[in-house]
Amino acid sequence: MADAKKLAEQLKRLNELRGPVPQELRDRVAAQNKAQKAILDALKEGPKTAPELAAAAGLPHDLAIWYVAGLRKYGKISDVPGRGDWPKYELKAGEAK
Amino acid sequence: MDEKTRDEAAKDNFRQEPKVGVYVCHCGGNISDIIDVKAVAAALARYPGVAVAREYAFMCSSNGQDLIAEDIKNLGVNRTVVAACSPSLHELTFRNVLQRAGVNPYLHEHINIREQASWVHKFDKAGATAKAIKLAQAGVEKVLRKDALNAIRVAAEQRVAVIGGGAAGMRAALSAAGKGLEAVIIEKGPALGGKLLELGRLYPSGEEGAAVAGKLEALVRADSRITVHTAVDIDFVSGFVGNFKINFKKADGRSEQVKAGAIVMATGYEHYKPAKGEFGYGEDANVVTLPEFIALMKNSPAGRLALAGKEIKSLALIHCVGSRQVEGVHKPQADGKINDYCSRVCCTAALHTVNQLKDKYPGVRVYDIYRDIRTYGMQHEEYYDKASKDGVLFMRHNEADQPVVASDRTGHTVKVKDVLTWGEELEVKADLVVLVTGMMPADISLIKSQLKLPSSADRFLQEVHLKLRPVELANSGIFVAGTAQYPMDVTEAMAAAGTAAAKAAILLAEPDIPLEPFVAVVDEHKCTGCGLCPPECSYDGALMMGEHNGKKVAVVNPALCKGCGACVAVCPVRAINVAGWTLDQFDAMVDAIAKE
Amino acid sequence: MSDIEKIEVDTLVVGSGIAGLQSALDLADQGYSVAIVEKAPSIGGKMISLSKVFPTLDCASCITTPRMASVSHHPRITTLTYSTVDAIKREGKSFTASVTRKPRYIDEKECISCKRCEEVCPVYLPDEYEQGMGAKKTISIPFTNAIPQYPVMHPEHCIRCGACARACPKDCIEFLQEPAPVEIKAKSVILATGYETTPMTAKKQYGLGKLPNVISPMAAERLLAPHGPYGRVLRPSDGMVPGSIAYVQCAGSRDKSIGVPYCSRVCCMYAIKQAILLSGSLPIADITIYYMDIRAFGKGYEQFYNNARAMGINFVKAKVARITEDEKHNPILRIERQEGDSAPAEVQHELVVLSQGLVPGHDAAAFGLGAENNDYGFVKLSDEMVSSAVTAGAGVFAAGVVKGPRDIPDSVVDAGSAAMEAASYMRKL
Repeated sequence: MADAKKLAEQLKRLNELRGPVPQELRDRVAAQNKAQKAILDALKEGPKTAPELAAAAGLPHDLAIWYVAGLRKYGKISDVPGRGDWPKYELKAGEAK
Repeated sequence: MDEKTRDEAAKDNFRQEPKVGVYVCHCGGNISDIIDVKAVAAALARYPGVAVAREYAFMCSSNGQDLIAEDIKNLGVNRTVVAACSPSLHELTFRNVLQRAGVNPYLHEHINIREQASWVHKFDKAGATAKAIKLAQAGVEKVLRKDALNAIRVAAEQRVAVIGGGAAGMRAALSAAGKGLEAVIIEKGPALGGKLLELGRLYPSGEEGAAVAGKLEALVRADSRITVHTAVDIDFVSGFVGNFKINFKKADGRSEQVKAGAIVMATGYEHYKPAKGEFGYGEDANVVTLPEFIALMKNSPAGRLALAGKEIKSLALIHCVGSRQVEGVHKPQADGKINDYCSRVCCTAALHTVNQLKDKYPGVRVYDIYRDIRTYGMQHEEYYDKASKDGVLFMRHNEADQPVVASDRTGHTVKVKDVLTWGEELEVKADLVVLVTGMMPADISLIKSQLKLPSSADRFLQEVHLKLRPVELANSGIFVAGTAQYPMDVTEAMAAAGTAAAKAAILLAEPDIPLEPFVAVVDEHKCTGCGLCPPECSYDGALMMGEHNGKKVAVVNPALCKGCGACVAVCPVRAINVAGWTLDQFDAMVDAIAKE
Repeated sequence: MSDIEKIEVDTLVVGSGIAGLQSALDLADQGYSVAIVEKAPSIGGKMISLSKVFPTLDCASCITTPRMASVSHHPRITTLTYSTVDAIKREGKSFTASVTRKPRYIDEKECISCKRCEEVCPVYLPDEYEQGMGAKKTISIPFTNAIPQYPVMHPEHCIRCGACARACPKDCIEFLQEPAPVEIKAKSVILATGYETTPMTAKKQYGLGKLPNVISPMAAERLLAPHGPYGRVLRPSDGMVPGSIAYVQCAGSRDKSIGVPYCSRVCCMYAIKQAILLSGSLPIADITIYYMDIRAFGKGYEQFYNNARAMGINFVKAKVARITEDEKHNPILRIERQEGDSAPAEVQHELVVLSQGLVPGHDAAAFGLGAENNDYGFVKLSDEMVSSAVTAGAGVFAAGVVKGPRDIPDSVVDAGSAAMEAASYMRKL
C-alpha cells in the first residue's frame, strides 16, 4: 500500500509538471458517473435492454451500449440469458446497492 | 532445455504420493459454449486422487500455464490432466509446463473434450458435459498409472537429404547449408531445375524459368556443403528421424546410399493433364494446355503466332481446367476423386502469359473465360489490368454452366453462359483453345508408401498443422517444401523451402535427438518366447526375438519402434506394453468410463 | 536516471506479430539469442485479437498464445514491449538500435498483475483492443491474454485521484515515471512490422466511422471473439442482435482511387470465415457477401468457400457504390449486380462489415539500413526468385506482411525462412 504522504507528494509534483487536471476531463468523468448511476438505478427496477436503458438514462443509444459493455466488463451488470433481438441486462448480485 | 531442468524433470515422481491437478479449458467458447466447464471441474475436484480441479478461458495461454505451474509449486501437484483441445495441438505445450516446473513431463494426460465432446455433441449440452466428465475421469485414472518416462535420445546424422532438385529443393539445400549443415540433393531428372526448366518467363520477375534455375544452381554448385545427385532413381528409403537411409540407383547402374538426419520432400508437381475429350483436348490439335501454349509461343516467329504452320488469329483461354472441380459437373480423376482445390498460380500465370502474347502479337484476339480471377499477389493485379487494357475480352461463367467447346474445320466455337452480360449465351470463334491447367502432386507413391507419408484429400503431402507446424509432416524428421505440399509460385516456394530447412536445422541443432518414449516394453519375466509378436511388427527391426539371461524373449529396438501396439495385441500373456499406454491404464480408463 | 540499459544479441526482431514471434523462435531454437521490440503493450500483434482463423477455424488464441508463452519463457529471447525503435545504426558488421521503453507508470519488477489498480480506477475509456466498442480504464491490463500482464496508465486520462496507488499491494504505481532509453546491439535485423488495415478516410462513400453500423473487420473479429465487448454479436449503434449482415469486399483493395491497387489476399477468406462464425452464433441471420472475385487460393480454402455456400451464406457478385443509413441506423447499400438483374438497387441490412485491405504498418525503409520499399510502401526483396527474406540491406531481413499482404499460414511459413537467412548471414560474418 502506498504511503499517503509520498503519494500526496507525487500527485503534487504531477500537478506542477503537467498543470491541473483539464476541465474537459473532469466534465467527462462527471458525465460518465452520472450516466453509469442512471443505468444502474434503472436496473434496480429489473432487467432492461440497451434502448430501454438509453431512454431511462437519457443517453444516445450508442453511448448506452458502450456503458453497458463497460459495466459488464467490470462486473457491475450481467447478461440475462435468453433469445430475442434485444438482450437484457441485470444488476450483478451485490452490486450498486 | 538445459541439463539441470532435464535432470530435475527426470526425477522419479512416481514414488511421491500422486496429486493430480485437473484443468478444464474453455477454449474461448469452443468448449464452454456447449460444455458446463464449471460442472466438469466440480465433478473432477471430488474424484479420488485429484488434489485440485480448475477451469480457465485459455489453459494454453501464459496465464493458464502459470495456473498449473503455481499449483505444482504451492499445492505439490505432481501429475496433470488437461481437458481441452486435441493433444496434437497442445499436449506438448503442457508437457513443457511440467518440465519447467520440475515435474516429469510424461506425467501429463491430455484429454480431448473439444473434438470429442463439445464439437460433436453441439445439440446435447448435458450429454456433452457428462461425456467430458467421464473422459476427464478416465484421464485421471490413466495419469495415476503413469511412469516418469524419459525421452529416448538417438544420435543424428548432421545431414539433410533433399528429395527433388527444383526451385524448392535447391532453396532448401542452400538454406540448410547456409546454416552449416551438409545437404544432399537427390533429383531424378538429368539436371537441376525441375519444372522451372520447362516454363517460359515467370512472374513476378519476368525472367525465363531456366534463368531462375541457373541462378539457384550457381549458388548450389558454389556451396561445398551441398552434394548433388541427378539422374538417379530412388529405390528404397528407410530409417527414422536422425537416421534415414536413402538408397538410389545412378544412371550408370551403380547403387548409392545417403544417410541423413532429416529429409526435405521437395518433390514438386505435375501439370494437370486434361482427359481425352475434356474441352476437346487430345481430339483436336488446336486445343492445348497453358504450358503447351507457352512452348508454342516461344517457338513462333516474331509477327506471326502459328501452330503447325497455321496462323492463330484468335484464342480462347478457359480457366480452372483440372481445378475447382465440382461434384456432379466434372468427371472424377482416376482415383475417383475430383480436384476441388484451387491451383493458386494459374490465373496469374495465364494473364502473365496473355500480357506477353499481346506484347508480341498485338493483333491476336483473346477471350478469357473464367469463374473468379485470382490474381492475389502484389503485382498480379497489374497483369489483369494490362490484359483488360490490351483488349482481352473477359467472360465469366458459373460453376454449373461450364463452357462448351465445339470444333469444326473453320476452328472452334466456345459457348459460354456469361454472367457479365447477365447470363447471355455467347459464342466465340477461336483458332486455338488454351486450357489453363492446374497442378497435381508429382507421383511419389514409392517414397510415400515406404516412409508412410500422409497426404491430404487433395493428394498433396499433408502438413501437421497449417499454422502451428506448416512444413512438418507427421513423420518426425520429414519436412515438405514447395509444390509437393500445395500449388504455389516460385517466390512462395522460396519461403516454404527456407522454413523447411529452418525446421531441419532446429531438429539437428543438437547432436542427438529426443524421441517420444512411447515404445513397446517387454517384461522379460512374463515373456514366454513364443515368437508370436515379431511377425506383427510393421517396422523393420523394431521387434525381434533375442535372448535375455539365457532365455528366449522378444527384444525391442526403441529407436525403430513407433509404439503402434500391434505386438501388444497378440501377446497371450500380457508381457508387452507400450510405455505410457499400458494395458493396466486402459483397463482403468474403461472402468472409469463404464462406472455408473 | 542511471546508465542506459544495454542488450547484446544475435538478432533484433522488430515487431511481435505472428511473423516476428515465429522468426524469433526459429532462431532461438537454433541457439541464437534474440531481442524482440514491440510497440504495443503486449506481444502477439494483430493475430491475438482475432476470433477464429481460417480455414481450420481454430481459435486464434489457441494458436497465438502458446507461441507468445514460448517466446516469453525462452531463455534466449528478450522481449521489450511498449517500446519503440527510434533508430537503427549500422556500425561495421553490427547494428545498434536506439529503443525507448515507454512508461507504463508502474514498477514492472514489483507488479504482480493483480489488477487491483484497474478495478478501482474510476475513469472509463474506449478500449482500442475492442475497437472502441468496449471499455477499459485509465490504468488497465491491455487484454486477458496479454504478455506481459502489466497494466498501462494513460496519464492524459488520469484525474490523479490516487486510487490505484492506494489499492496497489506492492506500492508499484509510479506517476512520475519517465521513458527509458535502451540500446540493443545485434548482428542482424529482422523486420516484422506487419500491417494496418486500409484507412477508410479516402473511401468516404462507405461511411466507416460515420455510420455506426458500418464496422471494420477487426471490430467484427471482436464481436465474434469469446471475450468480446458484448460477449455476443450485437451491433454497436444500439446493442441489437443483427438479423441481416452484409460484407462489402475489396473495400480498400484493388482500388486505384485510394492508392491500393493490389489485392490484399486475406479479405475474401476472413469475410467467409466471419460469415461462417456469424451463422453459427446467429443461426437465423441473413448473411450476404458482395464481391468481385472470390479468391480462395490457399490449401483447403476452396473447400472452405464451398462449405460457406452450402451453409446458406449468400454470395452476390456486385459492386457497392455507396452506403447510407435510414433513421434507425440500418445501413443502405447502393449496389450494381454483376449477374441476374443489372439495374442498380438499394438494399438494407442491419450491420455492414467493410472488408478493408492491408497497408504497411511501418515505413521499414525509414530505418535507413538499405532495405527499400516497393511502390506501395512494403519492403522490397533483393531477388524474390531466389530468397524470400533477403533485402537490399546486408544483414537486414523481412518476415511476414512487411513485404506485402499474406495470411497467417503464409506468414508463419515466411518467418522461418527469414530466420534461416539471418542464421546463414551470421554464420558467414
